[in-house]
Amino acid sequence: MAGTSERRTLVNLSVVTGSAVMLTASWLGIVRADTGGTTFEEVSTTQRVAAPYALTPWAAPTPPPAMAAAAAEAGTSLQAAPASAPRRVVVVRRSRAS
Amino acid sequence: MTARAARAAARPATLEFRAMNTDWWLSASGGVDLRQAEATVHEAETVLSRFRPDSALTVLNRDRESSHPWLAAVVQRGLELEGITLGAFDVRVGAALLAAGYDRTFEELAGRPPALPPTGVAVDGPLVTVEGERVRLAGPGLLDLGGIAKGWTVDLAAGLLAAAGADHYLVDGGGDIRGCGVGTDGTPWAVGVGDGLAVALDGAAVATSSTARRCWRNEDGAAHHVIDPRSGLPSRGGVRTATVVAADTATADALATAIVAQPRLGLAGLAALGADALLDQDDHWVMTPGMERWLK
Repeated sequence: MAGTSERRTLVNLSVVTGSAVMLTASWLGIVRADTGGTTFEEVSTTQRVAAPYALTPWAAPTPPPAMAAAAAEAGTSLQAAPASAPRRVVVVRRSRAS
Repeated sequence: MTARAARAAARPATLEFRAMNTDWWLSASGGVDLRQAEATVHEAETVLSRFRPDSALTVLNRDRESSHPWLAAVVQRGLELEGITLGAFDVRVGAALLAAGYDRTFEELAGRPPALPPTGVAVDGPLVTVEGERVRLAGPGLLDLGGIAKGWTVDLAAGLLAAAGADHYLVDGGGDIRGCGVGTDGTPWAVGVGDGLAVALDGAAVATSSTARRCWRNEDGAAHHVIDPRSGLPSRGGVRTATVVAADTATADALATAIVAQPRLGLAGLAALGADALLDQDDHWVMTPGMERWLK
């Protein structure tokens, strides 16, 4: 019984590790989604990329590999917003969540 | 045309009405008929609303196929923005919204318990196919266009005003706003954002998404309408409010939703599209470096 449990644990670990590696690789553009795969993430990505919708001229449904780096950097490129007090502007409307 | 009539035509007219469960405000110069734009907004609601039993979107979710040029355009744009935000924005969160309790209009939801218990299943939505005006769904799951439809409709109305000859106009669809030209004081339209700031909109759009609006309580506690597509649950990413300035309102609307849902991926999409954002992140107001150019 113990051996079976250990094997299950090893199998689970390999699945989790494999999924993480494939997801990271697809983000970096090493693995393309249309090469097929077995993980949930790959199936989902394949569906998105394979959708035969008509593209507008600017559209890029597959993000460029550089976006992985942009995603990593995005969280650190923010700066503090200025204080509101010095800006005395009469606004016509207000952008708010609705 | 007399000088008096010319002055009257140049003076912007305004119109207020209610549609898509929110308040709309239009202003345009050039004597443009704002009622036509209003009619278009109402028509867009009949096509894109998840809460109307006869809308093209409802037909699509029920019959798995629907044909309408506006529905196809919005869904296609949503798919594009899903790719650009690496999935932080996803129109396939309809089932997750239902599971979170957002199963009726927010006006009807207020104070009432949700009809369904929260499940928190990951969004594994249907395969979406857009071919011409026809949209088809394969596999389980529902579409929700709540993160893009209103912004897209603002763009539609703005396009009508411009085509009718308005050089200066502002379209406000419940806080999703597109402006062009100048206001009555001769300066670009000033729109309030964040905590006492304002942006100048001349040929640009702004939209805001927040977990503080359209929120309710379910069996798991507080819930809101911005679903994290990875978890299928209302987002808990640390960004409470996101205001985005972009070239068009549909993009601003979707990016604001994406940033609240998945801040890091949403901001990457924002950078890829050259847009800017002001965020309430962990109770601090922060912004992208490029936001400064929009502040008035």
